[in-house]
Parts: sequence; C-alpha cells; structure tokens
Amino acid sequence: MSAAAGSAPWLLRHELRLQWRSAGKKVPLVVAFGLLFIFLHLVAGLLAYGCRFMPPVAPGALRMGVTFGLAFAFLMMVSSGIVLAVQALYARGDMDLLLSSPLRPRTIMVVRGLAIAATVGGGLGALVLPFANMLALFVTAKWLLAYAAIVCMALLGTGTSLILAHGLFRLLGPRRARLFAQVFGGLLAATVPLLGQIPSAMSATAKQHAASGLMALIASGPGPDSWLWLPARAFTGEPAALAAAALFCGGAFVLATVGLARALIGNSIAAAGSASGRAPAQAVRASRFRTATASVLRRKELRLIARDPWLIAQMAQQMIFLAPLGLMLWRNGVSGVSAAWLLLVVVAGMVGGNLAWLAVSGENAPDLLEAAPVRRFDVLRAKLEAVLLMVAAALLLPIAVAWRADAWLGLTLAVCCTGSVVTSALLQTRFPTPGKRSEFNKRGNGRVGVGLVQLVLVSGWGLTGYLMLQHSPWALLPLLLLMPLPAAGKMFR
Amino acid sequence: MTDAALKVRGLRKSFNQPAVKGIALTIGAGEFYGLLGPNGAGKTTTLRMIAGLLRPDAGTIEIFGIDALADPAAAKRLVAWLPDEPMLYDKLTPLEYLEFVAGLWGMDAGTAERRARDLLERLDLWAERNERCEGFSRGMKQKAALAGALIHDPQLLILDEPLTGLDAAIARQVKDLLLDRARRGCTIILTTHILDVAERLVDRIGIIQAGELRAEGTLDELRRRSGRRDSTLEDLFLRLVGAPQGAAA
Repeated sequence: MSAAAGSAPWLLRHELRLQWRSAGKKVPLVVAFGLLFIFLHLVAGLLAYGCRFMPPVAPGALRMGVTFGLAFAFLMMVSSGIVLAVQALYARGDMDLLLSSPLRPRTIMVVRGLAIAATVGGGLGALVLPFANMLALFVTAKWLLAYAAIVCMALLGTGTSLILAHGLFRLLGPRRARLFAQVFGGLLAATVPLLGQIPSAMSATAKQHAASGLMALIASGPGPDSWLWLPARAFTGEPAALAAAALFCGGAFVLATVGLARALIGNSIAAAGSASGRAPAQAVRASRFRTATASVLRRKELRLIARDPWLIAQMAQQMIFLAPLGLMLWRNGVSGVSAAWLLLVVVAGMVGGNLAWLAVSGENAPDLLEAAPVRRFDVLRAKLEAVLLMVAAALLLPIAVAWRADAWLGLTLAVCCTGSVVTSALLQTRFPTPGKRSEFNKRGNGRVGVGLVQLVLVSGWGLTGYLMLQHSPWALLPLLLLMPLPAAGKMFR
Repeated sequence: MTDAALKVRGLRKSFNQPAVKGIALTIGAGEFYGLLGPNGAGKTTTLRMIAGLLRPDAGTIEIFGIDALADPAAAKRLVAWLPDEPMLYDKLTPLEYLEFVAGLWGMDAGTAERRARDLLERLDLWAERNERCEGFSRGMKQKAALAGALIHDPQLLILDEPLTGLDAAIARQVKDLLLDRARRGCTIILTTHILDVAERLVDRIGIIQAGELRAEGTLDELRRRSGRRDSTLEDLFLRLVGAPQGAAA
C-alpha cells in the first residue's frame, strides 16, 4: 500500500529514494551488499557457535567491551551523520520547494532526520546485526534486542549530528559549515581506527602495562547499576535498560528535529539565500597578463584547486584514513628503514588520481576548451603537468627528509611516487567520467573497475618500493605484471 | 577569400534519433542572423556543430572559406561560442578568466590586457575585475562569459540564447554590445526564444523545426511569403512551426 501523497511516510519514501539513487550503480551494489551480509553471517555463526563452548565472559569485561564498541559505533555514526545533516540542510537546495509546499516544517525536519537515521543506522546495522542474529540463534534470543538498540543509536547519532550541524552553521556560516563538517566527520571517522591501531605500535612491555591498567579500570569502575553501562545493558538485552535508552535517544532526536526545527529551517533558508545571492567578495590580487597557452592552462588548474578548500579537505580526509595503516607499518622495518615511508607512494598515487579526475573529468567549461583552437592533446598535457606539479610540491619535503635519512630510501620514494602519480593520472585521463567538481565524492560511482585498477596500480608501486628498499632484483616484476591492467579498467568501468 | 562567413551544406546529426536533417545555410560576412525554432528543434545541435563542439554525421561546414571539419583549429581561431549557461570558472576572477581565454586563442598579452579592460569597462564589470565569479549573479556571469567570447575579436560569433535569465538593464547592455560588433563587421548567429529581440536585432531569420530549415529570409521576405504584410515575427513563427490552437493570430 502506498502512503498518501503529502504525508510524512510519503515524504520519507521520497527522501530514501533520493539517497538510494545517489548511491551509484544499483545491481553491483546490491550484489556486493548481499555477499557481505552472507559472509558476515557465516563469520558471526562460527563465532557465536564457538561461544557455546567457551567460559562466559566476566560481566564487567563484557559491559566495558560493549560500551567501547558502542562508543566507537556512535562516533562513526556522528562522523557520517554530520556530513549528511549539513548536506541535507545546507547543500541540497530543495528546502525552498519543500517549505513552499503545504507540508508542515516540523514534518519536513523529522522526515529528513529519519532519512539520515536510516542511512547511518543501516550502515552500522549491516555490520552488527549478523552477529546479533547468530548470537540469538546460538546463545540467547535476547540478542535480537540489538535491532532496537541500533535504531536508538541511529536516532541519537542523528540528533547529535543535527545539533552539531546547527552549531557549525551558527559559528561558521553555511559555506564553511560544509567544509568543517567534512573535515570534522573525517577526523572523527579516522580517530577511532587510529586508536585501534595503537596496540600494534606499542612495545610488549607497554602492552602489558596497558592491559593491567584496563583490568584495574574495570575493577575500580562504576558498579553494574551505573547509568554509564546503560547503553551496554540495553544492547545486551535488558528490557528496562533498553526502554530507558529508547526514551533518551528518541528524546534527543525529537529535541533536534522538532525543538530545533525553526532554527534549522532558518539556517537552511539563509544557506539557500547565500547560494543564490552574491557571496562575500573574495578579492584576488591582479597580475600582468601572461597568455602562453600551456601556461594559462596549468595556472588555471592550480588556481582552481588552491582556491577550493572543500576539495582539499576531501582529499585530506582520504589521507586521514591511511593514518591507521601508517601506525601499523611504523614498527615494521625494511632494510633498516620504516615501511611506513612506503605509504607516501600510495598517497602520491591517490592524490595524483584525484587531481587528474578534477582536471580532466571535473572540467567546469569543457565546451570552452573544445571551442578553442587548441589541440586536445595539448590541453591534456598541460592539465597533467599541473597535476604533477601539485603532487611534486606536496611530496618534495617528505622525500627530501627521507633522502637526508637514507639516500636509497629517498631515491626509491622519488621513483615510486613519480610512477604512482603518473600511472594514476594517466588512468584517469584514459577513462574519464565527466562530472561536477562538487560531486567529487561520487566520482567512483559507476566506475568500480577504474577505482580498483588504480588501487592495484598504486599498491604495485608500493610493492616495487618495498622490493627496491630490499635491493631486490625483482623490483620491476610487479610493474611488468601490472602493465596490462589499465586495459582492464574499461572492462569493469 | 569568400563573401560568405558561413556555408553549411547537408548537415546531419543523429543521437538516438535524427536531430538535424540535412540543414543548408549561407550567412554573409557582417550579417546578424537569427536561428529560431521551438524547443528540441535542433538549433543548439546545429550551432554546436558549427562551433566545432560536435562532429556532424554528414555535411560540410565552411567558415570564411576554411573547411571547419578538415582544419578545425584554423576555423576555431575565427569563431567564438557563447551558450546559454555561461562557461565560467567560479574560482577565477573575470580578469583571470579573460587571461585564460586569451591564452587559449593564443593572443599576445598586451593586446589581451587592453581588450579585457575595454570589455569589462563596457560591461560594467571593471569594479569586480578582481573578485571571484562564484559570487556573481547570473547576469554578471553571462556578461563575463560574453567578454570572454569577444576578447579575441572573433569574426563569427555564435550565441545560443544569450539573453536567457538576464534583467532588462543587463539584456540592454548585451544587445548594445552585439549590435556594435555587428556594425563593426562581426558576423553573428543567435538563437533566442524572445521573438521581439530577434525582430529588432537580426538582419535575416532562419526558422528550424524537427531538424529542418523551414523558412529563411528577412522579416519582410517572410511576411511577403506568408501573404500577411502586417504580421509580427511571433505570428509568422507560430504559423510556420504549428502553434497550439488559438495561439496564432
């Protein structure tokens, strides 16, 4: 049965449809999601079955473990929720249409909040619920209450995200709020896995100290009835705790969507006004004209990137996600130097690929370039030169530091970073997918093959770097094996 | 050299279905030509092929005697293309944008700088010359894009709906600038849905529908052929393209 037009369920269906349609190609997505869901059930089934033969976990340790897990999940929800909230409120540009309709503003805010909650809760649920299902099957049916707990957390995460989005708007204004939400969300999302990698970077003694400190914390921590454990108790199937948590989380959601509805809508209208009206003038110092064709093309690319902090933040966010890997590699040495240096090769390739996408596929005025009496090859070459210049400028310092520490390391990094950038950039120019620069985050939609090939190419250069550091004669082997790969990008794009 | 600025013969282009079906056009040097037609008639596709943005499936395009399909770079040197959506970079200032366009057309820096100043002053954008275009209104963006189209002093100016969304004052500025260029010998092809504008600006009109040129001539010639000497361009247009019932007088 379909919901009546103009009702809240009807609007919610519309919101969810919009989110679904912005998720890229549907069939591969559904297949990938289905396979992951089945795989997680298998893993969870094995673990849950094994639990039957293991001694029960001490209640204190279980409470603390679940509490940490929930705190992690909550931070992850807020990290994506704040980006979704800022987009939904300040960037989608459909608020004028909705507010000019007979729908009540509060209904709009509640529905928009529910759509965000469905997205953030759905992501977490997909990872957690297979374990709850299997634990319910093999241990106790009370684990099924995790479904309700996920809903509660999604509501709390969304409420918190909306309140933070409101605060960011008040503090920074609509334009910067989006940028900061992105950075803040990225930092938050990267912090938790980063913390998770700390043990791998610790020495054995430090690990022992930390473990004993944790045990002491559990022993001296608040009693089992403390409100601090309420989320853990709710998640592990205590109905009273779950009811209290539901009340608290639902309250936070209502406070954000209903209580702040007027303020959030006011922000949204102000943001729409600032988008359509004149932005504060950003003056730029004028210089004498220089009109050599290659030079103007290169300068244009450099200016467009340098003047777009949002894009820079997007790319920085990707790099933040590599930080846990860096921490993991830090203690692993290759021929006396840290393997973490090789991450530079990966970073160079990713940044090079991203910048090449922006320069080639994200061209704002393709018709202007097409109408100009300049060969396509010359345009492309100038754009790639700009990309190489930008990455070279960013990597110059770290490679110089590496060179100073060990000349062979510096040479290895210089060779592999250059190779990684060039191959990634060429891949992007070989398989361009025109898109708006504002859709940078969605550039991978519908071109999974190209993304995968880029990842393999970049990893291949990393492996070459690893072998070079070992002075291995096989250093070129990964590259020879990867040569035919770019052709595969077309097959899977 | 030839007297025709543009000679198009048997121009065809299909996407999923035929969009342009063998159009032939000849536009004289210094002529102001209006290409009119309902939505989806094939106007923009025709102009994009002439500007070198689309390769035709069949036909020939000659711009001032240059075969635009055989030597596109030479033809493009003489042409400027201005679509209804301004081709601008939001993060650049008008001066930087004009410097960029001048570089694409290989102009020398001194001439480019002088012309940029003239154009920006003429279009009342001089005060904003060092502000990023992202804060501009649609009209200001369109004016900056027009300055970009004119900076290399094109001999053939192709404009697709240049007045869409402009307020009366800015539209007047754009029209004055176009008439001035036409007086100085620039050939202009323009599409517009504002028939009053076409009636007052252009020397000759082509009416295109379903990818075919249905009628061509001066307004007087079109009137004579229709047998109604007092018809407005709107009446003639609606009669030719088949107006909704009651719309045509």
